[in-house]
Amino acid sequence: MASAQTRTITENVTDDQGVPLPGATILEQGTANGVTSDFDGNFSMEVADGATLEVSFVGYKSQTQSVEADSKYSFQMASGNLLEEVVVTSLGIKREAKALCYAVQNVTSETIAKSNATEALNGIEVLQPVCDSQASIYDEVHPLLNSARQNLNQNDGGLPLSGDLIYSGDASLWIKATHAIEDRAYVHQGLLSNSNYTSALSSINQAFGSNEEDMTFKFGSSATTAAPWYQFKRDRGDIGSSCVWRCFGVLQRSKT
Amino acid sequence: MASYNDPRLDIYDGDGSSLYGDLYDSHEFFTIDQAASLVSYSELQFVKAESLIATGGSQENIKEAYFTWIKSSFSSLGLSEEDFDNYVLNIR
Repeated sequence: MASAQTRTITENVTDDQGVPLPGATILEQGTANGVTSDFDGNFSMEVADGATLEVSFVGYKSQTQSVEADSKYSFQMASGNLLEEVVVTSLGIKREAKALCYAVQNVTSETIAKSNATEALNGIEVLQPVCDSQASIYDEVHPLLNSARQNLNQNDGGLPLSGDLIYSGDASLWIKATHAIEDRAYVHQGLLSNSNYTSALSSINQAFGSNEEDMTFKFGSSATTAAPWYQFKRDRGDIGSSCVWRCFGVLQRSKT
Repeated sequence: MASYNDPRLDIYDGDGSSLYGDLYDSHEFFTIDQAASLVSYSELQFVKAESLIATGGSQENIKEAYFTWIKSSFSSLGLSEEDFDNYVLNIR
């Protein structure tokens, strides 16, 4: 019986300026086979002969390419598409990422009263996003997380995303992370209703059980994958530490 | 932090010689390949303590969450249980 021929594709994903894109999603269309590019934009995956690869990255147009023998492929992404058009291999992770983005933004919005989540997520075509109200953001966080959990719960045997940079495709940890993010949202809403504190307590029991389960993102050590605060410090050496402290949100404390 | 002899001060502030501390020069937050915590167990324990206070939880449970928060914070910064024990003695 003949078996399908496969080949290993080792390529690189860049933007239209040739800068590597870490975290781009590469899918073999019609299958659950997918990877993400590493910190230098490189990826390697085994695919069937004649397969079609779909490459996507937030803020860039997705592109497809057929895999043919002895061919070289160029995955140079052109900017310009909307977040909703981007294919993400796990719907649960996509939804949680959006909710996390909202939750993190609300840390800032407590100070500035507004956040610009919706339009800011619409890609680089919207350069002056209109702010959402804080209430509307919180209204969306909880349904997003609930929906993410449903999708993650339906996944058995790990997520089809070998390049998951946070939990390496472990759906159970992603589910715990949805509860952790929801806890943060509930406690932010505590002053609106005391029932939110009760909800937080309920959700905490289903979230992380130790430091080892923290939701942590490890940055890389190349010029394009370095941590943003490192890049800020490197690129803006003319700015004193006091400014960094203010940006960091840390108050000067008494040493006495 | 200084008045309670919090060992985390050394991590945040080095030898304490600069006005804003040594964080800008040496803290992990500004290293090239830092591990950025998005949500942590430690944070959740603080949320738990706050939520218990708001909902009339028992003093025992509030204290447990509060100390678990501090202990996990110490642990995530590489401090020992002995450091935690000494610190707790100072704040009681």
